[in-house]
Amino acid sequence: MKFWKKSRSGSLLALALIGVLSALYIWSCYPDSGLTSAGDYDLIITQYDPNKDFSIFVTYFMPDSIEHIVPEGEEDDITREYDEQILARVAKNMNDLNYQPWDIASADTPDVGIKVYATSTKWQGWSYYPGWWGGWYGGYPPGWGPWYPGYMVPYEFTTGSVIIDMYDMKAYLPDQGVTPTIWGGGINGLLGDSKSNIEYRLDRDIDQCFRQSPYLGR
Amino acid sequence: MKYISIILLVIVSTVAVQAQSSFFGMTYDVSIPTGDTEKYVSGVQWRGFGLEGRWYTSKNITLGFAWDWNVFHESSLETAELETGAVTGNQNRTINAFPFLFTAHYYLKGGSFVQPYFGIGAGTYFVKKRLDVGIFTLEEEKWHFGLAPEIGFLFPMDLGFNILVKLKYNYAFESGDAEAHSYLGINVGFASIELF
Repeated sequence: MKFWKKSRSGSLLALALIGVLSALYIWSCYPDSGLTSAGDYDLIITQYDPNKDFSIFVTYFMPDSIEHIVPEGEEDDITREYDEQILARVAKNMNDLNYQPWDIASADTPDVGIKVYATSTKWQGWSYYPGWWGGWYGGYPPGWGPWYPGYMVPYEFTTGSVIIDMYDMKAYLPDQGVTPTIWGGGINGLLGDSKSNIEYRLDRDIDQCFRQSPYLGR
Repeated sequence: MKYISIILLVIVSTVAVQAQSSFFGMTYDVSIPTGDTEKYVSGVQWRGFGLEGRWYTSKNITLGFAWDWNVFHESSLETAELETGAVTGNQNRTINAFPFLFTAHYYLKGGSFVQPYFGIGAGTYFVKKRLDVGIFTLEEEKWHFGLAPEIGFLFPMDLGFNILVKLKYNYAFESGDAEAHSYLGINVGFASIELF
């Protein structure tokens, strides 16, 4: 037992203090979602009909406007500022896949129809924000003194979604009155970003919809 | 497991009261995930911290407890294939693991510069696992039974502290539908040993 170095007075206290400070340091570095910009929250989802051979389609038709999905009783507050850009980017991707824009003068029906939708959703929640020493001023009732200061804050954010649906125009089901959807791409992300960032994200995310759908194309 | 924990707590408490010498340590923990944990978060993890207390029952044996906080985190932009599609987004995968272990250590004969030892910890792991994809979050909190064999070295210093270096393999067994968690800890810190 002579091997051990006997502790000096106060060493335990020092260890405890270092321990508490270390714990607080780790807590202050606690990794949150790790996402910092609105674009980091973007989510791109695609789905398709596996029974379809997308290489047999030649022409596509896409209306020159985007349909806004607005819940009943609510006003349409979705901007149309980016409609033209979105439609142009979808068309570029379709053209790059060797699909041809349908000629309205053509006597034939287009092979596929592309329809683009936009919608927005508000989210609400509460978040805990850890503070630091300066955030504590005392004065709490007995039993309420926070050992580590922090505060709850409400937050609200709005997400926007762009949905690109592809329909098989030659598979119209008259008895049901529907044209089946054979491919869909959904982009979901936070709104409230700068104009240039939204433009960048839209192009990037629309391209990703097509990139992660290797079965498309002629 | 609850009865085992109570028995161990009683033993450790009894020893703590009766023992004459004690050992308190604090370590900075680096963790290397293995097994299923590595599939979820890979790479060396640099956030971690541990506290422990040991009480001598004889010249070479201590019983005690250990508590750690080990954080695992990884971010990536991934495309996950679905049955009929795909999803792309930033994924943030986080695990906070809190082992609460009763420990037993045996000290080998050491030289004047280093004291090697080996030991084992047994107890519970509180594991908080979180997955963020875009704005969506999945979170799981589970208590696991776990074991932690360890080897370590104590280096006496002239300042009244001992430098403590240990390798500790943490294994938290499956709990319900929650998978097992395992990681190798490389823990470095200080130990204060009180002799009476």
